[in-house]
Amino acid sequence: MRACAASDSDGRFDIANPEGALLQAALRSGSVFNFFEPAYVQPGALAAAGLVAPEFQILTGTSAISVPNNVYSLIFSNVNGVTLSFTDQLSLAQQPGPLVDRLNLLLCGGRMADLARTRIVAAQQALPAVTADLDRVRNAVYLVATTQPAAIQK
Amino acid sequence: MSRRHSARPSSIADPAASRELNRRKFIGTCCAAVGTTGMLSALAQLRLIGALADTSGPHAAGTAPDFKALVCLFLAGGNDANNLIVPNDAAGYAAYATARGALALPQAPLLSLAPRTTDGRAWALHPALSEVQGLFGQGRCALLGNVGTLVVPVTKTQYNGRTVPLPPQLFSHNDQTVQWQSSVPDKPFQTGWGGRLADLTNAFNANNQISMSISLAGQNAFQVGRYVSQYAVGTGGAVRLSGTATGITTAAGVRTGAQNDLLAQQENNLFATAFAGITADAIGDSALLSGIISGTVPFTTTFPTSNLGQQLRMIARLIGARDQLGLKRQVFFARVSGWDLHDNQVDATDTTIGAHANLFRDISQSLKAFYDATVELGVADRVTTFTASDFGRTYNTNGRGSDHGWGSHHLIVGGAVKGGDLYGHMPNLTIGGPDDTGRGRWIPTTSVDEYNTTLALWFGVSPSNLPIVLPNVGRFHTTDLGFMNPG
Repeated sequence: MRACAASDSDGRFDIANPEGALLQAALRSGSVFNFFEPAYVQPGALAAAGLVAPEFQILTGTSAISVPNNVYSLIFSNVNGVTLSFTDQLSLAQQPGPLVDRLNLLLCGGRMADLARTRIVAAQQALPAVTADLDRVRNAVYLVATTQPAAIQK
Repeated sequence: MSRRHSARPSSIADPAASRELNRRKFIGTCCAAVGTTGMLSALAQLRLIGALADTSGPHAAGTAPDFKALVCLFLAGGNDANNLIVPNDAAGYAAYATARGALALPQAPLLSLAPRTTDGRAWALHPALSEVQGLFGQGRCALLGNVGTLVVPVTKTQYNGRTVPLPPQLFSHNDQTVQWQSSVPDKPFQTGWGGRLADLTNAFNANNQISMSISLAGQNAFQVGRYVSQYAVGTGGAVRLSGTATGITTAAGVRTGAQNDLLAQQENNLFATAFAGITADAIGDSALLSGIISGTVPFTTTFPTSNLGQQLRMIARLIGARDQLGLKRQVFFARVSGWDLHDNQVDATDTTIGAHANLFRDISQSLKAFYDATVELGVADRVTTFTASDFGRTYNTNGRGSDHGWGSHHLIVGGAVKGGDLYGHMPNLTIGGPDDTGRGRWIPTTSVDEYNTTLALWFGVSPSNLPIVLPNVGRFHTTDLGFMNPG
């Protein structure tokens, strides 16, 4: 939110019902221990490799949709008065490569895979010509924030 | 007094635990390598068996459709089953009233039971369970007495002398919850018994569109399988992704296309691959489910507006959609919380009302509505619901509450249930007696494993394959407690 110049109409950055959409909320974990068990194993390749993946316990068929939807609302409209103005990125709106590189630095610690960068740059170039600068930036931020580069920080 | 905060140290706080995790991870890797081959070949065989069973079972083509669903209703926090089934003969009730003190229910409003078999004692249900009493009378509900986690059968002498292994961390919420759901109390958690059941019986689901393991209460240990992933939905069904569109003429369409492509990209990191796979599957599944759930509700039964009522309503809808989803076997998980009643379990002046009575009323009404909906759907004898909980609670009180216990009583509901009877053994309800470890924490006389094998056999697991689902089964007296009619 800091990277995207968030501001709020009443000064309170409140997120209503985070346990619903994000499955996590301060002081609301389902047990006295945490939101996920330290030994949780994700079926599939991770289980076959003998790896535990605690955070994956709250990546469910529901939260894999509700979390991106929460991000979408925050980026494209506002959530409880919290608005993102993207002052840092707006000047790069018409330059897909530098824009994605800037988001890679701000949101992914500079670790975005080349393949992902190429696809997001292509998407920015494919936006209809009438797309406003603000919407161009929003589009790029959404794609970065909801896919692997920002979700899995190595 | 309470041990609910007891737990192994977290790996963050304790470097020794961190080493332990690495060692465990190392061993886990080795075991996975060894175990996978054996398991896969067993599954390959089972696929064949499953294909045969599908057409050669008692419900061959042309008779009843071969479909079965198992619903785990988890009472999170530890239900005080000592007020679920209450002694109702004169001597039994008098001893109950003395021992339970401030928690004792008055005898007059108790709902009496007339089980088909008797051990000489009379029993009754909590006054808030009138629908359950009705289902019991119609033979659609069975009761199971004093079931709990066990590594091996235990007597009081063995318990006191610690001469046989006991489940680790007895009376602790998260440990006992996981042990109930894994049915392997003596090993670190790997998979839940519902997950292993799904791994084994997924062979019946040749053309499934979504997972056969569906949770209405988020991710849980019960449904963790090695091959079949659990799919969590809300009481309103699947949530759709915002701002999507098709085509490339709009910004939304371009974005949707790019998002789908990004999630399909090959990653050289297993965690990134897993994240992308889960997200992409969720997007696809939600679109499919939304399409189905937006259709006409295939039953008229009204469910309670409670969260549990709505969880069971959505399960009934997903059962109604079994053909569209391509599912012949489904395993569901529902959960109702709030049972950890150390205090305010009952009203100060009337023990028949209060928090515990409200929870009982909710499960009674919700289970009845769910049963009625399965009757409407024509699958009443194909759907079985069973309760589970962290543990029972102490027979003596903690003022107006009770503390964590061990053995507990449970309900099994459905058209295939051999209902109207009390299975297992009700404990000797004497504090300090032969079944008590102190304070009325009953030593289970039936293991969770025996409870689960009875359900697994009904679900279609052959006796020879039971150890795949419930590996500790050979340690106990029986694999079939008798409360299910053969499927």
